[in-house]
Amino acid sequence: MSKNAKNLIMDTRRRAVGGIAESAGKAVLFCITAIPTVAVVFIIFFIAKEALPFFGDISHLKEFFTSADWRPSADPNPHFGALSIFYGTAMVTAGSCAVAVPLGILTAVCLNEIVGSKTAGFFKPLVELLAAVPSVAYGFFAIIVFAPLLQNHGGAILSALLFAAGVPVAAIAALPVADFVSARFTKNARLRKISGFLFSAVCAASVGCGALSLSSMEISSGTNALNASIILAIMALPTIVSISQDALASVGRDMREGSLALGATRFETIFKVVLPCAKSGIAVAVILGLMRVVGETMVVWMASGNSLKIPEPFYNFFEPVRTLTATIAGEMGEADQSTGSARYHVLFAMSFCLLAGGLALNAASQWVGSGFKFRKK
Amino acid sequence: MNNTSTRKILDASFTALAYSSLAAVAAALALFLFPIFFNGAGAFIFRATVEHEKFLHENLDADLSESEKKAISESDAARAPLYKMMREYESPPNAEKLRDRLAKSYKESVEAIGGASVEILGALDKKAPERAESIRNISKKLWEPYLSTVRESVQESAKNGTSIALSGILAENEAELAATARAELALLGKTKRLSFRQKSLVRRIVTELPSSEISAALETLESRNRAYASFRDGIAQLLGPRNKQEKEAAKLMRQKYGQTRMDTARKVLENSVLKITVKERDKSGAEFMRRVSVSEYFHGTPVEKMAEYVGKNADAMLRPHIAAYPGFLFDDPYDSSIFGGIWPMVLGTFYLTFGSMLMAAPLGVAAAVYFSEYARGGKLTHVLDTCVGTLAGVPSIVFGLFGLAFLINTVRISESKSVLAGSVTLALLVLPTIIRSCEEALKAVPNSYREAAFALGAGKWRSIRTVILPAALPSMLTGIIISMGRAAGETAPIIFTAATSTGAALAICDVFTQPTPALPWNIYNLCTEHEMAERVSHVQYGMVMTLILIVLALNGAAIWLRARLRKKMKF
Amino acid sequence: MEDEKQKRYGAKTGEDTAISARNFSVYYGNFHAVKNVNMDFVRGKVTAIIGPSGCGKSTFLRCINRMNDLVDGCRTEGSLQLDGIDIYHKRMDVAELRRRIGMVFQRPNPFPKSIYENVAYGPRLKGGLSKDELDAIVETSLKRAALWDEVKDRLASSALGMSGGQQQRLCIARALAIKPEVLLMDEPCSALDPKSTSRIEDLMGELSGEYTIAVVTHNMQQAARVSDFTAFFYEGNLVEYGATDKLFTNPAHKATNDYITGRFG
Repeated sequence: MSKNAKNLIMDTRRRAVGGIAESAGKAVLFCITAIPTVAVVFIIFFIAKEALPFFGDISHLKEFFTSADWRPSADPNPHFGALSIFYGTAMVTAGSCAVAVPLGILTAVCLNEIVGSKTAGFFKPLVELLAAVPSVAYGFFAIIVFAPLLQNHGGAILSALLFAAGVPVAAIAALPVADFVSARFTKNARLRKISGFLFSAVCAASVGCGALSLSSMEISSGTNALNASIILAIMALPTIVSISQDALASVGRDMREGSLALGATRFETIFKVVLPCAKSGIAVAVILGLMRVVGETMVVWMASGNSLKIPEPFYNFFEPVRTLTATIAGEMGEADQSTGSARYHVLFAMSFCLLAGGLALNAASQWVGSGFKFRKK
Repeated sequence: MNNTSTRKILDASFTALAYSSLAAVAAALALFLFPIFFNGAGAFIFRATVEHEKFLHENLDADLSESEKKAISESDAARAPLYKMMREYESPPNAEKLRDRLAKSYKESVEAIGGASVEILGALDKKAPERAESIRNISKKLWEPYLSTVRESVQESAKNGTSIALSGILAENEAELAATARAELALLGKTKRLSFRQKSLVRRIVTELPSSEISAALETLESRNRAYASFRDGIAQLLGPRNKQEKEAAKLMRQKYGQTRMDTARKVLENSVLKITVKERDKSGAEFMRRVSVSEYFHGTPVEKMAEYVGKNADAMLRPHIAAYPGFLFDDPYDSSIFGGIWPMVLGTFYLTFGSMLMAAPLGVAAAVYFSEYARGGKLTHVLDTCVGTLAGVPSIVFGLFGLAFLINTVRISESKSVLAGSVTLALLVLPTIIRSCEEALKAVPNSYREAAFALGAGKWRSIRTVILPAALPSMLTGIIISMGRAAGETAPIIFTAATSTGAALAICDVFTQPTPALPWNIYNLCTEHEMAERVSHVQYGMVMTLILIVLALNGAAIWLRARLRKKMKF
Repeated sequence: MEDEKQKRYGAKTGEDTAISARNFSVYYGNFHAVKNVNMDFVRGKVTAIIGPSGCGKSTFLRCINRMNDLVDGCRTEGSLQLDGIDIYHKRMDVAELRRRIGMVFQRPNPFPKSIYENVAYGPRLKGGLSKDELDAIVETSLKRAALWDEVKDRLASSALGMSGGQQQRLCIARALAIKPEVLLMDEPCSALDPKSTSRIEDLMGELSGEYTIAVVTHNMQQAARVSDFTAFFYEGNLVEYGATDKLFTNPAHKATNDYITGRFG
């Protein structure tokens, strides 16, 4: 028996004190950890509570989703048709995704698969820089710098952009098509090559002409759906790039080596092996980018023009639109905040829709991403 | 696809496409940052005018150096001739002569009316159709001396620079007409008792013609005077008030000083001094606005000389020089940010950021410790963990509404918007990011540290406090600092909870009850709701640059810290 | 039956026993990792535990200072005693137990602190020491670990800047600083170069006598060089245990013989 046996075995009291201290500490930590959970519950509860007086009325509900007549503070007959606002949100979201998703994934592919680690090390902080810039700065850029530019030289800018992006894409996309079609008719490699080039050149030229024809276009207002879409795309870009890149990086080296060893080109390896392997991660990236776009307030508020009309024709990106977030931000200040007017409640109803959308996207990202462990930025 | 060369081309073009996407991202960043930094720097270093020094001296107790004093007195000297010209134009020395001349011819005409009573009475007796005609003829004849003088002086006025004086005299004359008519009626009444209809006819005879002539003349004169007034306003905008009295009478600070910056001064010179907007009528009589150059509109008049003088001596009157104004960061704004700096906004952003971090950082670290050290992967932990992700997915504007509905309208942590409410809202917003980054940092601490600490007899809490937290500190700090940058730049959550567009710098003791201006919100406000957007363009850019610099500095600090401490304790 | 096993695998009677295991088993969930081990560690001697990978030798060692408490789903059966006190007693003060039974790990794991702080970490936990006392403890510990001469001029510099061998000796010094009775070493040289390894082995020889040392090793030459007793584990069983020279020259079991002659492992 050791001389210090007593020290080794605790008496009941010491053990109890130690145990209580430990569990108390753990309980405190648990309570702190529960704050986000409580916050989520409270947010849903309070937004829903303030939205309920509006949603409680079925006629309101129908008008809300089907009419574009938005006169929330008209007296005595207010109208709460938010269709054009929902449409504006959808339009801006779609527009920015059309820009940000291909560009983001391509950039991620380039950073991860094509350039060396040194170049990637230079560009990654730049992408992070884009993410760090506050949204109001983007909004400022949109309204003070970009909008006048778009208004005065919109046609030229668009045609240059389309020319720079569209011509190479068309040329590349035409190649496999031409190859596939010509394979049906001839076995002559030389002939196929020439026809492929010709077809690709024709495609590129037609897109180029289309782009050039835009240059004389007039844009009546610089703050429109296009402006908001482009700026939002730049904002969503870092999210898409960094998460896609994580997804690509998590694809094992052996996969690539296996494909390359079979004689595939880098392009084929990326398209047929790496991208399919990383697709769930890329999907998560796209969803998170989408979330950033849908939830963004300042840029759309400043850049979208805040018009209540559904653009005509419906795909006209040169018309001003209005989004949910901009409506909430813009009108809540005017609505009677404390007493709770009809307008106050309808704005909460709107933010409830926004919240529901955000949560659904979040759930989707977690569901899609469950197969893929990625570092969340 | 089995055509080898097509495959190769495809591969090469795809590579090129990927590179160009990278270039596009870099170009977007450059195109975005360049104008902001270039123009933003202009808020701190710019070509200033003497008005800038005057403003600093009179409002911010800046001392004037000898050379500045000299520049101010020289600019005053350069302005003196212009002001003299303007004074002479506004109250010409020959105005009395003109007045006498008009008074004389007026008197002449009136006396003639007095002498023509018989003629008038005769005309009154005529039958309806001829009556009006003959009365008009009499009137024309009687007023001729006066009206020809009026026409002459109007014609001469432009060249002589007497438009203002003349319009004053004519207005006086017009007022006299009624009295003249009354006198004439009294005179006629002595001879014959007139009916009511006859009285009004006489009144018409006497007043109609001169009054319409005078108002036509006045209209010509006044449109010219309005043009001059807008020119004069332009000069006032450019150079500030002409003298002490004007300065003291000015209510707004923008009326007390001219343009402080040469870039805006040039714009004012181009748009409001050398060119003005005049109101004109087309043939149908509808009014329309027209931009004209002053020298063309006032061709051959003294005003042309003034415009010429201003155009030639603008530099001498404003004394442009390169000035550094670090006070842009530390001075209060004056007169809707047209003058002064952005200190209250910077301070407000500072309060909000640190306030939110004061709450979010300890809570986030504690939650991260729970997740990485205590939680055993049960259902409950999964729920807690999912909710962190969910909170991160809530749109920022919803946080703002939540802050309004819950913190302000329900809990009433303050009567209205306050820094406190805004900080709590922002803290909730950044909490998930902090928890995630701290969790990441804690999980990156090698397990061998935990083992080593336990093997030395440290308890769980002891090992966390003395080994794990210190080892994870650099990464945690990095995450916290980056979140800080995010909190500093967020706008939507503070719109309804903390931000106000105007107001002075908030004292620290007021943060629990008072709203504050803050950089992000004021950028929005200044861009969209300012009545003189052109004059605050430099403030807009300066504010955005300051905000971006704050955020970038925080991010840079985080990256630097990470690199430094990683090197120091590599694992 | 039990007594027979005891005779065969236990230490010789009459020698002072520091740690004794009786029918000791460890489970990871359903996996029976250590099976009914009976074994006595002799006080003041070096005992080597050898065996192929996954034979349960490390698990057994980590149970002695209850490091396996940190592993989810790990439970034990049977008894394991330190100086006659049950290590798995329900009121055991685990922290105090670990202070009695120091441990050195496979990879050197100094804290990202200064050399001085690393050694002083253990004594500080207990508290109540003056600066001078602490300095003295640090100095003696580093001297015992044969590191003092190399680091005495740079005690304030980071421990992570040292070589692997130095780091491992620092870990030993750190373990010695809390004045343990027993020192557990879990393959202490597996991450080190031969020169550092021989220094650590020398150190073990110097420390034996004062400390009861249990060392898990992959390296049979090392076991033969440094230990007084050797235990051979195979698939969770303690196959053979006895004086080192006897076990290596004349193993009683075929499995032991096969292992030490390199047929497997």
